Amino acid sequence: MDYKTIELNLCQLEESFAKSRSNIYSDFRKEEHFQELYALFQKIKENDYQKFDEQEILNHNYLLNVIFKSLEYLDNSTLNVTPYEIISCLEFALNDWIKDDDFIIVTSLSNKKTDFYLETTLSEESFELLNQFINNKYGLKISKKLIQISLPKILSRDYLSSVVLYHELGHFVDNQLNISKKMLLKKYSINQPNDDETSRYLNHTMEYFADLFAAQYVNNSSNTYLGYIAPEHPDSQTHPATRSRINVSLDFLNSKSIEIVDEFNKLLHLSSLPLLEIRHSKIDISYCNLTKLYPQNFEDVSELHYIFQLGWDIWEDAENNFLKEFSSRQRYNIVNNLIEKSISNYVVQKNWEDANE
Amino acid sequence: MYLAQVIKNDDVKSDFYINIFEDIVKNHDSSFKVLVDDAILEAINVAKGTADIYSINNNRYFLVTTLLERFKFRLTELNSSQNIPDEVYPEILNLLK
Repeated sequence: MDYKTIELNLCQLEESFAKSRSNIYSDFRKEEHFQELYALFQKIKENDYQKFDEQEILNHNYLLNVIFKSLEYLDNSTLNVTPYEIISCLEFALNDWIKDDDFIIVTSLSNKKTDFYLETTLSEESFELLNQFINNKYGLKISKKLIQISLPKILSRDYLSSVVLYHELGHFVDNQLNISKKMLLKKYSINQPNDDETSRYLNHTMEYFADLFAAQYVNNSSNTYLGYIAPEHPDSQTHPATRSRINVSLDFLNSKSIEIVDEFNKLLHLSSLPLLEIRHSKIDISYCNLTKLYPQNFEDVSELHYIFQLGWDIWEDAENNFLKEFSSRQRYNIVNNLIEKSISNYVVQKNWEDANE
Repeated sequence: MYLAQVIKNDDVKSDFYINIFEDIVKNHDSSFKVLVDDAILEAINVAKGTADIYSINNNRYFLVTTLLERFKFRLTELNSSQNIPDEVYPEILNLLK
């Protein structure tokens, strides 16, 4: 790799910035982040990059890739595109774990139906190292970190499948707090997997943590959807068997003592972090507004998270409940609209109250 | 997939730490020396069993765990209550390279 790589990256980025400059965001922090990236890009461009040594070329190549990836997600997180309601729920959950206003959740919409994933995000350590480098070299810093979540375009307002995003947020929290990696280190005395066994152990630990993270908020609904898209999937190198995943989450939800939850909580306690625990409040379906086709009111955020379980319960029982006279397409739209309106009402009201405090 | 290999985060962390250690070795001081010293001391404590792996600080997780994995024997010879000897920095730099 030589300076021509940097030159090509800069030319491509110039095009990318030109296309993104007219983006309108609902969140001013995204606009600020965009401006910071642009200022950094300008500084790199003005620098005498032809004289960079090998290490500087490597570092700048990485830096330019970070800018590229950030722009990709910002482009998909504009006012009319971003799935505001589900992002608000994820922000509430994130706030339980990482008390930091330095994160912005951004989404990228994929054309593939199963593309729910979290783009590898900069760890706290990488972010600090990167900023130290930027500050030393250019006297600038990137103040916010992006949480980059990819989801299928056609499902961006499908609140039944959105439960997957709580699982994805769990991966982000795990990655930031090195939870599964610490368990790998403790068990095998290595900080990265080095063979099939350790790779499988790390992957499975990460999946269990993300499942449990989701179950804290959305009860069993993440499992229900897993049963739809991966029924009876066996153990693989990357994921535990669907049956094992569902059983672990169910045991957790039923407050049964299970080894992996106990180990996670031991680690979380020693790291002075919040523990895995039930973070939702159940709403009795017989008395909920949704059955009267009204949006649901929530006492607090813990009830808000339960809306996904409520939506799934109504969808699963649609042949027998108040939706039985509707077609399946109508049922699907009604459930999604009711969930969306319920979340939207709560978030608008909460923002209003917070602004007037 | 066109790309056979993507940039690994850990490679990048290693690259940035190489910069910092080169600076320390060359100038015997660096604005990051405190950060690096804290990480080495934390690694010494974990290596000697006086701190738990689970309590490792996330801000310097990669550096501490790299030292634990690849520098553990040397860590046990060091004293966490004294300053880090100067010869340790080039040793770690070689390790990262």
